[in-house]
Amino acid sequence: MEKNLDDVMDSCGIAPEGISYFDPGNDPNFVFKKDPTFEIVTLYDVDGNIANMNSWFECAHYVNGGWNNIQILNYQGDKFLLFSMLAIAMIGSVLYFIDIKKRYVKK
Amino acid sequence: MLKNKNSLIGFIVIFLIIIFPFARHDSGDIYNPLPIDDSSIGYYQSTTCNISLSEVYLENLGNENFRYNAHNYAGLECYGKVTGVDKVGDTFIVSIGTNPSFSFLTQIFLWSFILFFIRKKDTDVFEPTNISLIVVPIIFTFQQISEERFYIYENKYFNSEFSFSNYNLFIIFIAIYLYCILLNISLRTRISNIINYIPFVFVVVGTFNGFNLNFYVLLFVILGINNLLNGGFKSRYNKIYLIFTFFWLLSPGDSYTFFDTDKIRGFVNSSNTISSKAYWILIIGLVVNGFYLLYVKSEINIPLLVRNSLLAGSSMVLLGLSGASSNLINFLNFYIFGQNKTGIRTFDSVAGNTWRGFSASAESAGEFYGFILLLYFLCFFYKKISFSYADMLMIIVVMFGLYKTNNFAALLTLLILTVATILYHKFGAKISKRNFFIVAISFLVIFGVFVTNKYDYTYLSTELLYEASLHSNLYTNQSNYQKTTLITEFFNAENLNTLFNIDNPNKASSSLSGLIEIYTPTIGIPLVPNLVSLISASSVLINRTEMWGIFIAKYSPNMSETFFGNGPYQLNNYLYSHEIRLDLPEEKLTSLFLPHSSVADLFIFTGFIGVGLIFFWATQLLQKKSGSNYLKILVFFLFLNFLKSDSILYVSSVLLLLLSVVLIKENKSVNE
Repeated sequence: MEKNLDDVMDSCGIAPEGISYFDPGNDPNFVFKKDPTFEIVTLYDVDGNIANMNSWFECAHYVNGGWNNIQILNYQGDKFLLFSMLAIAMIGSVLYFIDIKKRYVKK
Repeated sequence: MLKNKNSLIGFIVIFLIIIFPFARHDSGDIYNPLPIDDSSIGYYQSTTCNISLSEVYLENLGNENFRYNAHNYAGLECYGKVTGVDKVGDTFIVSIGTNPSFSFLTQIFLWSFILFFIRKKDTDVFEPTNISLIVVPIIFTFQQISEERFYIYENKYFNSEFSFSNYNLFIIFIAIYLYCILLNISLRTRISNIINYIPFVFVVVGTFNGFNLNFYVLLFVILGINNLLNGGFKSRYNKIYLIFTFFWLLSPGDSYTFFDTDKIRGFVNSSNTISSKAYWILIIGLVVNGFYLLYVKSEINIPLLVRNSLLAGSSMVLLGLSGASSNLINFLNFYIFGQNKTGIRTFDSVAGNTWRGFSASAESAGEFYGFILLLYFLCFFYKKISFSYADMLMIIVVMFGLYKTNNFAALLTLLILTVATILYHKFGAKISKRNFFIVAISFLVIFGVFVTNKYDYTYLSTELLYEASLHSNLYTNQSNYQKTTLITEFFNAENLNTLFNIDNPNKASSSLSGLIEIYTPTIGIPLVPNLVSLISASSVLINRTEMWGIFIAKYSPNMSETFFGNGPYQLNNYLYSHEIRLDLPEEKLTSLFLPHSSVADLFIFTGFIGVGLIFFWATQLLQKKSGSNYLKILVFFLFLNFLKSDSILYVSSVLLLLLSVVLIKENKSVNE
């Protein structure tokens, strides 16, 4: 949980006096109250979605939910996959054609 | 079985790669799994892509009030992790990220390594072409573009542009390229033995997650290319196929329609565009060529085939039941075996039961179980296999599976054909063919008299047309109840002309109009039953009136489609081109209504000429004498069952049909 508090502090700053974080759970009537003294913070999720935080509590809740103030510009999973595949394909092709050559020479 | 150590290692490595993302656990992270209930939905919604499947599973051991759902439209970072929890009714749905690009890689390699477990020959029996290494990846990468509308909803990384930054297309290309290499290596020594392992296609279903593509289609396309490059181009089949292609491309239909593929994903065209049509025409043409090559190269090993059939059948039953009892196994069954849909989580034999996801329909599962039992019986009866207690155990499991599919037709045909085989064996030599036919026709006449005594003849002969009319868009301004009343009145008065031509001109589909014309001929031939009456009476007897009625109401082909069809595995025009008003309960209106007859399916794809040619070819094939004449009953069994099911739409059932055809060719005798 310590790591969690550090994350919240990194993204949202220090908790204002008298405010501490608790999990609001799944209450559909729960509303994040705007704190006029809180300087708006922008958070991002892994899909690149953006949300503006209007209070420290709201910000802490989002950070606990995996949001962050660092925007990871398009985590390119497909790029990573492609280069891994290219490496496998090159090795695979070399082995395959060496094997074919051997068979051809044998014949 | 596991002679090849390298294959086993490869298989285990790929299996672990598949399982790892789902089983990942980081004890140092701050996102702890919670018991799934109303209070934790919000937590899971706000901690997406942080908690793995295994973490949720272990936290909720014993709680079966939720099910896992594959969430394809999630990035690689969410693979194997919870991407959200929702509550539908009383059940919680836990979505697990299963990005299609990565799923495709893992599934294609896992299943490729499974091919290496097929027994191999000591020497090369086949020299596969290397041209397929380039051609096949191009074809299947092209599918992404041709069926854009399907893929755009399935994969976050999908992009239809041709550019170097479109990594997804390159991933697919390279994965298929590697698959071709693995397959070429495997085919060299195993092509003749593949046929003996066909029953396992009912266990490893092979539909790629998030793709409209099946593993076996890939395999047969590669074989098809090999067949074409070995002189197959000149075959009569390919020449006829080219003629059909001309007509299929000429009649494009409404290119905006889209079929989400539902339970037949992987083996059906989702789109009606020219490029999509061209892709499926090419694919099915190559698949059929692949079938031919496998037919020629196959060597049946009866004891091995029977054992594999029993193993596959009993595995399907046991895995299916495990999936019904555990939400985790249900999800893993879906993912590892490439099911089209997750299995139904009930033990009951209910309507719509898809045999736990291993089969798209309970009917095709029933046909498979029936096929296994009939195969075992025939091989045992004709002394091709010996008795074993292990076989008996598996037979009991398969019998239980057949019982649970609720497929009465499969059970009945199995019993009739078994008794017929015994009787033929006992009296076949003593009875001449002429006497046999006299007895058979006498039975038919007695049966006909019995049926017409039980039901009213007019009812039997018009019930199908009546049912089709109920589902047609007649009396558009009236309610369904009023429509039914009016239609019933006209049918009772035998006044179809007023119903269709005066009150509702151009409202009936061309199929319904055509059948009405046949039903009311200007010249009647005495003693020859009307074709429509015959089909109608048959539909009543086999409980297909409603489904065939809906098919007739829906399908409205033009002239070209009537004779040549819409193209292979193209259902868009059938599903969407003609407006209907189903006379069904509200909750059923959005269901997928397939024709419920493989002949009707073939009629949609290839028209009258195609169906005629297929029947002509089938008759020729059955007339050929071979050393395995006794196995022709298997083809007959499948044929009878396919008449009333959509099995031709399912890859596994088509491959089962292929197996039955290979079984009756002049096989070299191969024994254990």
